[in-house]
Amino acid sequence: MKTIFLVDDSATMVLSLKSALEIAGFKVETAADGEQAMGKINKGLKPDLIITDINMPKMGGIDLIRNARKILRFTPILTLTTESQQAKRDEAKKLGATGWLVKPVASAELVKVIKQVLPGA
Amino acid sequence: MASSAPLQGLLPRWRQRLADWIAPGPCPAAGKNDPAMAGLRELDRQLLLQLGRAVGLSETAALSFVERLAGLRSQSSKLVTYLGHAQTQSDAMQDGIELNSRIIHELSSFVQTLPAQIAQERGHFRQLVGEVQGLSALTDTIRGIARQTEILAINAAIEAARAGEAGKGFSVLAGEVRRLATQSNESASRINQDISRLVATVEQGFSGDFAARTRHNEAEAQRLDRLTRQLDDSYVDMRQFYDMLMTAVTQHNTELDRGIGGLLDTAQYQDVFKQIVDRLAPAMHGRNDVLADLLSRLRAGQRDTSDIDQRAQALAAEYLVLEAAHRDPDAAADAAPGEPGQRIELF
Repeated sequence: MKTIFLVDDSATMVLSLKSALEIAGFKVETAADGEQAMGKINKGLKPDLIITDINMPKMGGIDLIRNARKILRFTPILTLTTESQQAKRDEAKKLGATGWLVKPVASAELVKVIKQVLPGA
Repeated sequence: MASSAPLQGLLPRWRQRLADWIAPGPCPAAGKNDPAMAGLRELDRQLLLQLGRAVGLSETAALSFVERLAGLRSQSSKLVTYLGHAQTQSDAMQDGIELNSRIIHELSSFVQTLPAQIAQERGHFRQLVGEVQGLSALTDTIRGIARQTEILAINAAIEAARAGEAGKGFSVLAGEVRRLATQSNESASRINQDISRLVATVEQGFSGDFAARTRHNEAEAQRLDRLTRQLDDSYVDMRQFYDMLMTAVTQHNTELDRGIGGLLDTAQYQDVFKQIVDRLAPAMHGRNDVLADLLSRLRAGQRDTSDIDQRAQALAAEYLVLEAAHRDPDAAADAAPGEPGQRIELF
C-alpha cells in the first residue's frame, strides 16, 4: 500500500482529502505545517508521495519542498494551494516539485493525478 | 412641524468640529499613534476578530460535516466490500447447489431405470430357475440309474454266492457297487431337495409384493425427479432475484459514494474562504497606514497630499493584484485567457 504524506494547515482539507485517499486505497500520513512535516521526515518517514499546501504557518510549502528534497531526492511532491501565480509555480518547479494543483480539486481528479505520478498505485 | 431654529448654525458647528478633529492646531501626536487612527485600527481589529471567529465557526461546522461524511463514506465502502464478499459466497453457493442438483438428477435418472433393470434381472432369474429345474429332471435320471445299479449289484451278489469260493471276490465288488449306487441315490435326492428349496425361494422373491415394491420405487423416483426440477426452478428464481437485488444495491451505493465524495470535495471551499478572509487583513493594514499618513499631514496643516492620494488610489488595485494570484475556485479546469495558470499542471 502506497503512503501519501498530506501537509496542510486546514483541518478541513486534511480530513476531506484523507478520507478520499484512504477510500482510494492509500495509507495517509498528515502534518499541519512544513515544520511538523520535516519533523516526521527527519524521524524517518519515507512516503511514496507528498502533497503540500503552500501558505502555512511556521514553514510554508516552498521551504518544505526545499528542505524535503535534501532527504527525499526522488519522492514526487505535489503542491495543493489556492495560489496560482506563475512565479511561485516556477519556484516550486525549480526546487523539485512534481506538479501544481489549485484548490479546490475534485478527489477523483486528484487520485487520477496521483496515479500518473505514482505508477502502480 | 419642528422648528428649523435649532438647526441654524449646526452645519458650521459640525464643520468646525470636523476641522478641529482633523487639524486641531499643531499636533505632534498625529500619525500612527493618533487617537482617531487608534480608533479605526481598533475597529478593524475587532472586525477582523469577528471575521476570524466566523471563519473558526465555519471551520468547526465544516469539520463536523466532513467527519460525518467521512464516516458515511467509510460505511458505504464497507457495504461495497460486504456486497463483494456476499457475491463471492453466493457464486460458491450457486456452484454447490448446481452440483448437488446434477447429482440428484443423476440419482433420479438411475432410480427411474431401476424397475426396468430389475425386470430384466427377474427374467434372467426365471431363465436360471428354468435351467435349475432342468437339473432336477437330471437328478431323477441319476436316481433311476442308481436304483438300477443297486438292483444289478444285488443280482451280482446273488450270482457270486452261487459261485461259491470262486465268486467271493466278485461278491465284494458287487457290495461296493451297491454302496456307491445307494450313495448316488441319496446325493441325487439331496440335490433335488436343494433345487426345490432354491426355486421356492426365488418364486417367493418375485411374488406380488415385489411387483408392488417396484411400482412404488418407480413412483418415488418420478416424484424425486419432479421435486428436483421444482427445487431447480425455485433456485433459478432466487438467484435472479438476488442478482437483481445486488445490482440495485451496488448501483445505489456507488451513486451514494460518489455523492458523498462530491460533498467532501465541496468542504475544501471552507479553506478557500478562510484564505480569502486572511488576505483582507494586510489590505486593511495598508489602508490604515495611508489614512494615518493623510491624517498626520492634515493635522500638521499640510495641504498637499497628492502622493498620499495616489497611494490611496493604488490600494484597491494592489489588493486586486494579490487576489488575482489566487485562482477563482469555480473557474474552469483549463486556464482562460488572462487568468493565471491551469488548475492542474504536472512539471
